[in-house]
Amino acid sequence: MRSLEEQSLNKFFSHIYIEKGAEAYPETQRIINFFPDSNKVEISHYKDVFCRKGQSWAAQKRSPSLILAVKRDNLIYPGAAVCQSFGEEHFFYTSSIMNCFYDCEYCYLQGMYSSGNMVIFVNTEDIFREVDRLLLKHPVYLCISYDTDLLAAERFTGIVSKWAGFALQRRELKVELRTKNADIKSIKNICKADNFIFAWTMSPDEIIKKYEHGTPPLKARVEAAKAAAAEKRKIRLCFDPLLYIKDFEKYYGNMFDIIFREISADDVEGISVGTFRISPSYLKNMRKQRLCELTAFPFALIDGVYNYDREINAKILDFALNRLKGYISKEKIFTWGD
Amino acid sequence: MIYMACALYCEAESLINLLNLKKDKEFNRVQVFSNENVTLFIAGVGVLASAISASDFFACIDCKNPITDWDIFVNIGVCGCAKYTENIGDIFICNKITDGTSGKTYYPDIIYRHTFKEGELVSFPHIIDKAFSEKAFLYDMEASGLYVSASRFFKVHNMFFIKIVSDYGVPEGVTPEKIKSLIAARSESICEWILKISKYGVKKDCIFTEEEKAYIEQNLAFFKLSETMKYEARQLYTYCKLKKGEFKETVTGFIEKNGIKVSSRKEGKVRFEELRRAIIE
Ligand code: SF4
Repeated sequence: MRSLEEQSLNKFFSHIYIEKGAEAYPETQRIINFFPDSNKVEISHYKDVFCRKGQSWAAQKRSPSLILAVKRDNLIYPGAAVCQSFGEEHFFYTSSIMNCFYDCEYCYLQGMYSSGNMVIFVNTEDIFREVDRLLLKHPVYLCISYDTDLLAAERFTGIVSKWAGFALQRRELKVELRTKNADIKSIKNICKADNFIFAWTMSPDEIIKKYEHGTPPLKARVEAAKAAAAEKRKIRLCFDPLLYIKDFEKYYGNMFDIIFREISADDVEGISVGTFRISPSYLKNMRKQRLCELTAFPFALIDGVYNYDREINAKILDFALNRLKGYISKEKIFTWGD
Repeated sequence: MIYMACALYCEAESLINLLNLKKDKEFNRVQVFSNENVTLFIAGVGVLASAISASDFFACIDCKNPITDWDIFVNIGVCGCAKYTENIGDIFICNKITDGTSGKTYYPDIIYRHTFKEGELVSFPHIIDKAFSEKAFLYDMEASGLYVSASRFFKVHNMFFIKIVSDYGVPEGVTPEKIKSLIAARSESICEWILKISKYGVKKDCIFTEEEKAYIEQNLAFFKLSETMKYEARQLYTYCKLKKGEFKETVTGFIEKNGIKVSSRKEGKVRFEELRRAIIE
């Protein structure tokens, strides 16, 4: 049952802030039509709302507003060192959305943004043009769902479908969609492209319930991955971040068993494995935002990144890799830091 | 605490009566009325005047009793309206406030449900007549100044600008009596809502009790830790408390069980590392 406090909060996206100029894009109209009861407020620039002083990330996260804007610069970023590149040489990422529908306690977004509101950039075509420019120089491996869960917003944005259609016509482009979402209907509506990879982040239910608020349970994620594989879509499984919790061997061990009972290793293009890691400035902000056992952990600073100390890291990774090797060939396993 | 600001006494009078606020004689530059949960001050008329008195008042308050992240600021007053489709007496919460002089715009977050209307307001430094009113939907003479001052002390989701439509750009008819009666008829619903949401802020209480804080200080001295290590130790005890629900017994137990005595910084560092391992295992 929802508490009195929760009942007194506005529902998600009760307010939509629309940057001047963004209203002309069809994406904006689609999103506005999806939330007909929201209050619409015109703004000059998305940062006037998203980057205001005195915001409370925690309060906004409970009742987020939506900001629709046009992305004018930094349409594509080089892949960050803390992210898994799957051995790809030309690794990039792009953010069509800033912030996420879900609320994972270990999520770096709460350390990266001072706002809990969500920004959607409606000019996807401009990002496409930038990708085409890069493709003239070399192949591109592009992650499109890093600073959000793009599939969780697909019902009202349609951005994932656009990307899949775009990728279908560009053989030198490989796109990865990282997600915890399990909306099989949305997935079925997305066109099939060999160079478009669905990558599910999998976690044991004990972790989902305690730390990944609002996300689908493991069973639903497995079902979604299975359905995608049955349609001959490219899929990856991400065991990242692996968390150091009491009895982690039991929980992660059970999870691996559940997943590979349902999904054949032959259908999996690759697996990524990595322990929790975070930049010092993000961790500092995250600790200010909420008191949480996961982020309060006394991490070790290794090569400028906070991580479990070498002993714990080795313990978690050795366990996970040993178990995974029983299911899938080691060539398909990519470990962060390798 | 709820801090309320009204430009004029006639805007505040019914709120003072309803909430049973008493004149607070501690302040001599602004008129202040308070009870144990609400403090109301008269900010004066005009963007600049209200900004100055609000800054002065909040700075004074903050010195004595720091304003917290869950304290609330509410500006209640009358406003003009450019649209005849709205009624005299309608209550609005402002979701966008523009300063009519600088053109700067401010956005209070509206995360709580309410039954009022919402609208955009422009604050002008002077009285607005009909010709001017085309530039705005709602207009007043204080909100932008109060926003700028209050935003230095309050979180944006805890700032509310509640305006009651008093006229359509013909301010001559807006007498103190009319203002008084417009607000009096609506003060109950406004106050009821504010008192309700004031209970809901995200309170970030300190995880440690006063007794635990004192224990930590003793303990840091016991281990003879450097300033950097002290920071790490506080972090470790926070983690321990979140993980186990306590940390004192764990730390004391570790010291007693291992008969730990620390005679130098170097030794303290080694012993503390042993404690760290024991806690994270
Ligand atoms: S799903 Fe990913 S992006 Fe969204 S809150 Fe969780 S970790 Fe962050």
